[in-house]
Amino acid sequence: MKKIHVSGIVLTVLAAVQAIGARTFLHPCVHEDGSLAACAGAGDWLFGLGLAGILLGLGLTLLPVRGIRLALCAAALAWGVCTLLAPGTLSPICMMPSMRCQMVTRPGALVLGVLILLCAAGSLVIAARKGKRA
Amino acid sequence: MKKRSLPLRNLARRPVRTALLILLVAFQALAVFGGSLVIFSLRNGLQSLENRLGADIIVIPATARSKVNPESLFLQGTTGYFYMNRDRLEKLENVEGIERISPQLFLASLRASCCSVPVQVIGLEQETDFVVQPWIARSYGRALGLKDVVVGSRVSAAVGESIRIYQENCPVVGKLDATGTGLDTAVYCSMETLAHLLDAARAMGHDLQISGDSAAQVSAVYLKVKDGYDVGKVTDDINVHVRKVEAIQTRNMFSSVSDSLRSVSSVVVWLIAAVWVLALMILLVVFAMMMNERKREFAVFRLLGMSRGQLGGMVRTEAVLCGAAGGLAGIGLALLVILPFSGLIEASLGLPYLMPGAGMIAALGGGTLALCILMSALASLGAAVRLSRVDPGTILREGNG
Amino acid sequence: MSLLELKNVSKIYGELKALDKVNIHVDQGEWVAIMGPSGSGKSTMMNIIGCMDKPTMGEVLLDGVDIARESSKKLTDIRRDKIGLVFQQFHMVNYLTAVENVMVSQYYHSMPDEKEALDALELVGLRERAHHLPSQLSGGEQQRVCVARALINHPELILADEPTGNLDEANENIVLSLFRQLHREGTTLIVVTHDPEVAEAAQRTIVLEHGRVAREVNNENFDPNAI
Repeated sequence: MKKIHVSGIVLTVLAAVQAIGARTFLHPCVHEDGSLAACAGAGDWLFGLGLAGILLGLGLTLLPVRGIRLALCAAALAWGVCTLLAPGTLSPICMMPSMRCQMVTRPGALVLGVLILLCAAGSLVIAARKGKRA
Repeated sequence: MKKRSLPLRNLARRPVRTALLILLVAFQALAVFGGSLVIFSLRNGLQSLENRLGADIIVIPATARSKVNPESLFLQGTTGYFYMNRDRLEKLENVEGIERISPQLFLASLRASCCSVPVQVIGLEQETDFVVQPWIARSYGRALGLKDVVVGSRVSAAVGESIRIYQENCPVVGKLDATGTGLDTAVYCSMETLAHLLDAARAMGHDLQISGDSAAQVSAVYLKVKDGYDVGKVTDDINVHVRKVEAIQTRNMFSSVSDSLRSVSSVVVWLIAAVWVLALMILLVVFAMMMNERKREFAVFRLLGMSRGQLGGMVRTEAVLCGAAGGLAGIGLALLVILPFSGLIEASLGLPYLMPGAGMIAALGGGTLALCILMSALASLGAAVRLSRVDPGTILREGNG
Repeated sequence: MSLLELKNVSKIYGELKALDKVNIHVDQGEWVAIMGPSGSGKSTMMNIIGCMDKPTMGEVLLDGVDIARESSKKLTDIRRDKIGLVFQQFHMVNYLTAVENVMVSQYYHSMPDEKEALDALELVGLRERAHHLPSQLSGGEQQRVCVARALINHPELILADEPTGNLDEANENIVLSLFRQLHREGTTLIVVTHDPEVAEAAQRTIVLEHGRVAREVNNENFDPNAI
């Protein structure tokens, strides 16, 4: 039976939460008239990164080759950093702290980004060590 | 290999079991630390609000309640405006028992340049103000000039920048410390500036329902009662003898807030207790199962010369390591969620909410960690004592052919 | 000179006499086998000699000290300092490597010394497998590690309970060869077994039946120089 890597599953779940969240519970501000606010780009970034994360996560779950796994872990680290930077750096957000993008989207991206980085770093360490032992 | 690495090696060889133990402790830590942080933040917010409001009585127009809930306006920073004639001030000055009196003037901006939402603009009579001046003085020690503004901590404008209100450019000369209340989203200026802004708003066609000169309006009057006078009686006197106003005791506003705070705190405490009891029960079961599974291993150590006390110490060390790791993980997770989401927590609770300082947070974290370590050690105690009493020779000979 | 002496030792569990007035002695440097069928009292005797249990009656003199009168804590100390134990089931700590299993025995005696532990593994021919986990060792190799573990603190007595019970013939011969080498070097050996071939490797065999010494047999074919 093919070996399933738990860290890949965790990353896939985080990515799915990010992609779904970007369009639902983590969505940025929307004006009363339905028009997009300045922070709409942050939601798009998070959604796109989430989709990419799902592919990375699936790859880490299923692929056994050490070199590929190390590359995927490095890519996952980059994904985590981009998630942290999406609201505010990669894309502007509103200025008032009481705005939704400041109260929900940015903190949500922070939590997800940190969890992704921790999981990716752990995967990288494990993949690197397994190579040494072999 | 050092003797002290034996507990670590054993934890590492059973990653799933170790992860479960750490997860259980992490939940406990999350509950205690997170819950305590929320409760302390609520208490800080309430204290901050009491300090900031300063007055014993706030007098507003009698019709104000039909426009906005005064408690929301004063405590949560909900925007709103209402006006009465300045002659009310003279009537109030004649009420017995008043020590200090100061009016304020309100205006809700229509999307100031700093912000995508309306902000509350509050005009102060600088000669008489005793409510906000002490706070302003911390960041700006001079009198406010025409169009100068001091902003609350959550207004996105820095000192030296300008904000545009009703097309009037207002330089930001100061920024107030955070209070954890709605006052953090307010903009403060002099009475003259606010009268000027009122005129600008009216010129833009906004109907503020004012009759007469803007400079002759006040929105609220803050009163300090003399020592020895009963605040309730003075409030009643005002309500009876001064027409077309409503006097509100700030103590009554606080009492509803502190009642709400007590309810929220109580719920949080019960949640913490429930999580702890449940996690502790599971920990006890897991430790008992773990010890049972490791009978032979312990018997080998006993036969090699490990004393009962040393064996118990090794088991306690494993439990302490799990407790420490779980405690740190839970505290880390709580910080990761509560700090960034503090704005959302405050908005959801609808109560004053001010995070404690780094020192208090560190103390709470240290206390939580110590508690987690202690509970883990205690949870393992019973099982370890029972196992250390078992005859090693008998255990090892079980299964011999 | 006598290293071990059991004088009128009995172990009684309720109505059952597991050992009944047993008298034996083992001299320094001697290799003695204790044989008997199931229920003969071999295990009970092993536990008493190994300081894992105390007799109901009688004296157990180990190097002149009556261990039957000692406290549990003292028995632990004596077992640690004077006796090396080898079991049928090996009983290695499965998350420690071979050399670490040997070093664990040193922890509670003196100071862990990896070089000394490696030397002990060299003695049993397993130095190159020092950093392997028990799961990576064969049954015979695990038993040899246990012999090294038993030897590391230079005990006065090696007490082995069915040491070849779980081994095939080839590994059994390797372990017996080790015992012969230890015996040549002056180690006192007591081997509890139900296997006559293992018993024949010893100098003398004590046969137990129903908790009593049925007979003692000197092995006339014993060759101290056998490999």
